[in-house]
Amino acid sequence: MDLGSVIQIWLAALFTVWIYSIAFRDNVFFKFAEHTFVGAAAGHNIVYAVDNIRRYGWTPFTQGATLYLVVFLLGLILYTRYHSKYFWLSRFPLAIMVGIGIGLSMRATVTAEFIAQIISTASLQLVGVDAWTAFSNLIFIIIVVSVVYFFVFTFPGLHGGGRAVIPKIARYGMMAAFGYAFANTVLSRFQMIFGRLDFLMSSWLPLPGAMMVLPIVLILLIYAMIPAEKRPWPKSS
Amino acid sequence: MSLLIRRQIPIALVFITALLIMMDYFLKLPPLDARGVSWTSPVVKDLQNWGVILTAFALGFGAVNLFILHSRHISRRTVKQWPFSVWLLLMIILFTVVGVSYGATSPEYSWLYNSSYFALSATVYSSLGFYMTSGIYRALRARNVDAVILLVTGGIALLKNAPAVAVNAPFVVSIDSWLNAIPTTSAMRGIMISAALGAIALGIRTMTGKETGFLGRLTEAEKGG
Repeated sequence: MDLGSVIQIWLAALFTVWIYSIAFRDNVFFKFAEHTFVGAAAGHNIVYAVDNIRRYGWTPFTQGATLYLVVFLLGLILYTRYHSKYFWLSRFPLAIMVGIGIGLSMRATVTAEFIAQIISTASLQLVGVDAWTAFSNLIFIIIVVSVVYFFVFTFPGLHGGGRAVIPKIARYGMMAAFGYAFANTVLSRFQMIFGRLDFLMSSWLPLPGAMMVLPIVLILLIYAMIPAEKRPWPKSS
Repeated sequence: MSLLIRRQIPIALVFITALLIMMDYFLKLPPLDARGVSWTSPVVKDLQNWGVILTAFALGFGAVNLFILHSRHISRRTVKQWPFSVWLLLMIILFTVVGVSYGATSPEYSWLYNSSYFALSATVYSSLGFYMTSGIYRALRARNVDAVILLVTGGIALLKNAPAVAVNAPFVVSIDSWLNAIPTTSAMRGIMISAALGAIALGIRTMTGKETGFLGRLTEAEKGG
């Protein structure tokens, strides 16, 4: 393995251990890793933003699409938001961004999240299938309709009296969905934790010196977790 | 005049842009070219590029805000913070310089990315598992019927993923499959349809100027208009 890869694994491993240390107590190593993360994320976003401007704006502009000069100006005008007097100028590029967002989301929403969902619910069979499937499909349709009723018909009168049973069914259906989704989300997070632990075990610890450094890293972490007034040195972190 | 420029023209821009993009998708407006493509298609393609470029410019806000905040910490020498602020700004500069000068797909940038950002983002994201464990302990308590349903479905989903349970009690897997296919999917579908209705309503309200949050702070005259 080349030196570059070894340094890369060491850095990634140390950052992993330092980030997990927050599960016990805040400490200077965690803060260091946290600030590295925020700085790296911001820098990474800038790099991709510059790349996008080059690819989608600068390249067509250099090929003769002079209209792209307008969008560069609009992009710069966005930053008038920091100016107390001329902040309103930033509304023009924002309006275009909002318009594009609405246009794109509306066409996706109407087709994929509205019409397609209604079609696939309406196509569920209640007859001509076995009793268990018919029962399941019936439950499915009842929950879909009651959840839509729960969110769309929100006037107080529509959630009381004899109609109170509909929002109740919707709530029970949603609770089942949330319980199931929550449990699966927790499990997926644990899978990610296992992935990081596996990286430490199979990529970092087999490296020369890693087994010797691990206790030093842990001792330093524990020391950093001791409150400043209780440790001999340094008094403030 | 001022009201027209500051409030009405941005709303009109939203309306025209959104309408063009929707028209291109739902209608085939004449005149069509030799390939049968409507005039709206190239316009919308350009507009989408504009959106990408403007979003890229908008991403700079995050960096600018970070620079403002952390420069303040450094200039005030905020206790226990300013050295980290220096480091954070250095990281932004390092990533930007390497990424912009060598390219986002270069080996140099990939090395930097994999040794810090990739490892850190995976670890930070997974560390939510610690908090979710305490969250699930508090959420899954049988206090009423709603909570019992939450507990039972959550418990079954957790049990199903335990290999010992899946082997010794296969009926748990069948119940889990049914829970996934029927109550979970149907409730999520109901939520999706309702959210779609909400999104459509919000889109129409924004297009017609009823929703003006994107305009930022409004003067009294602008509010009245």
